[in-house]
Amino acid sequence: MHKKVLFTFLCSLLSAGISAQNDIRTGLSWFGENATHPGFTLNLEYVRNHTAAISTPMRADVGAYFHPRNHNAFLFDLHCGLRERFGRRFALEQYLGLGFLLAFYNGDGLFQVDDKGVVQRVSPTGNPAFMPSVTLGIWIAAGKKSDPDRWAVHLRPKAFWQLPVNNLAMPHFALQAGVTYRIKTLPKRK
Amino acid sequence: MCKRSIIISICVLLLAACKKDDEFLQKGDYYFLENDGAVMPVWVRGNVGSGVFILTLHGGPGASGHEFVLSKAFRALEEKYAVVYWDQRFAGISQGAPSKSSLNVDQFVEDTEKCIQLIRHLYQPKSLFLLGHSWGGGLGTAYLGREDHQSGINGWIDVDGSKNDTLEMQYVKQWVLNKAAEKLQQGTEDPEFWNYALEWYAKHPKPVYSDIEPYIFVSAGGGDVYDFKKFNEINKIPYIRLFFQSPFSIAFLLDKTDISFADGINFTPELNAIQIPSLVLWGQNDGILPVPLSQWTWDQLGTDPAHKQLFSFPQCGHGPHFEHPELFAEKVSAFVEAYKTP
Repeated sequence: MHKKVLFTFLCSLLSAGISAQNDIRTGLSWFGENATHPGFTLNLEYVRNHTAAISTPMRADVGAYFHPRNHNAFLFDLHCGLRERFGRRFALEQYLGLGFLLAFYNGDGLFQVDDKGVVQRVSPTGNPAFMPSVTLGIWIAAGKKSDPDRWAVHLRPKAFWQLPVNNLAMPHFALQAGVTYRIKTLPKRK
Repeated sequence: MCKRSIIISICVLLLAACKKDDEFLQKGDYYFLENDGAVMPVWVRGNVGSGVFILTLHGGPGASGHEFVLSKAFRALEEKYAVVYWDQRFAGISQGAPSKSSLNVDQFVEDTEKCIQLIRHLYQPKSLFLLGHSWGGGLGTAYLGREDHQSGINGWIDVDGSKNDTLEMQYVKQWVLNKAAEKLQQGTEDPEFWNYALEWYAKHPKPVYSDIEPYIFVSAGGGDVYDFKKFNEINKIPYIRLFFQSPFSIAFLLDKTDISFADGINFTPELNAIQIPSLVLWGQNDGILPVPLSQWTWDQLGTDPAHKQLFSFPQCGHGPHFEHPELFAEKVSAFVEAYKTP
């Protein structure tokens, strides 16, 4: 099954420049770290529709999430993936991503104590980290019958890593759920 | 229809996220202490108005002070006193990017001092007690036995604490050998496992702290948790809430500490130097730090015998605060009440 998906993905990437009909979509997603720690992302997608069933979206997400008493983070995340349709409206997706995360401690204060014992409240400057990710998704065309792809909804469980934290790549789980809207269809390239 | 379902789902998630959860997301004060690359959470809960503070030092190295929050014993203590739960560097849900070279006892002692200074700065406690479990027992000993750290500390509570690697690992070895003999004599369902334990010790006569096998043997023999069924009945861990509605993150589950820095530790000189009132608490069936070490600890403590106490919990492994929470809270409370006024 994995080999079939990978093969399809590679074939579709190779054929991308031959018969690509491109869509540009924009959207908004809930981004819940551990599903419930609140956040959001704004999405911009560039979708190559290779066949009626196969497309390869590239997506940029920018957003933030808030994990109380742990950390807040701003994120910018680029994804490359495969969307395979099953029927007229339903599709499954998979993405690999690489992004940038800027994390701030979320609590009642960050303090430093110097060698003389003087305590100071300090302002966090943010901790930059790389953010590789793996995302799976369900994508459903939700537009009118005449143009079902104009609107779409998605549900995407995502694993991402914050690197480095404590000298390791810290895994996180997130759930993205939202809507996208096709803002432009570009003509096929030859 | 689908669009509506997604919108409803998002609303549900938003409501869940906005839900005020007093227990983990609102109760107490939650600070971060930054020192030498590490950013360590310091959670202050309980009766701050009492002026009596108990700073907990967790085990491991690499476990979490947040574990204590889940114990009924500490919840009971919070009703009377303020309890401080601190995650050490490379442990629990601490953050930052500390250098691996900062994994050393001197650094942990310095972190402890800075955590205490932070608590003093924020709350000006009338009384301050230290409580250390397992590795935290060693860290507390190392801290108190050095410089003039005992001044301003009302008392020391050592719970199944580790202080002398070589001595302790020999006691552990004896505990495992006895348990293996007992199991094999009784006709255990898994003779291969216990024979392997015997073989392992034959090949490794002088194990050290960072050897993982002794802990596996001890856990299998009931030396970590004496009675798992009872343990689970007493301690209802709210896993779902911890995942979705708490400061906990996946980091809590990850092993971030190379504990080999603690191989060969010997805090006997520091233990001899402690003179403040001390309470030594131990599980009678502890196999990770077997119970004879409780008497050794009591003997080596420099405190006047009139001001040091020893109590061991029956039918109890390495965590009396989880296995006998009421009795544990009672013993700690009695000690704190006796010494909260210097």
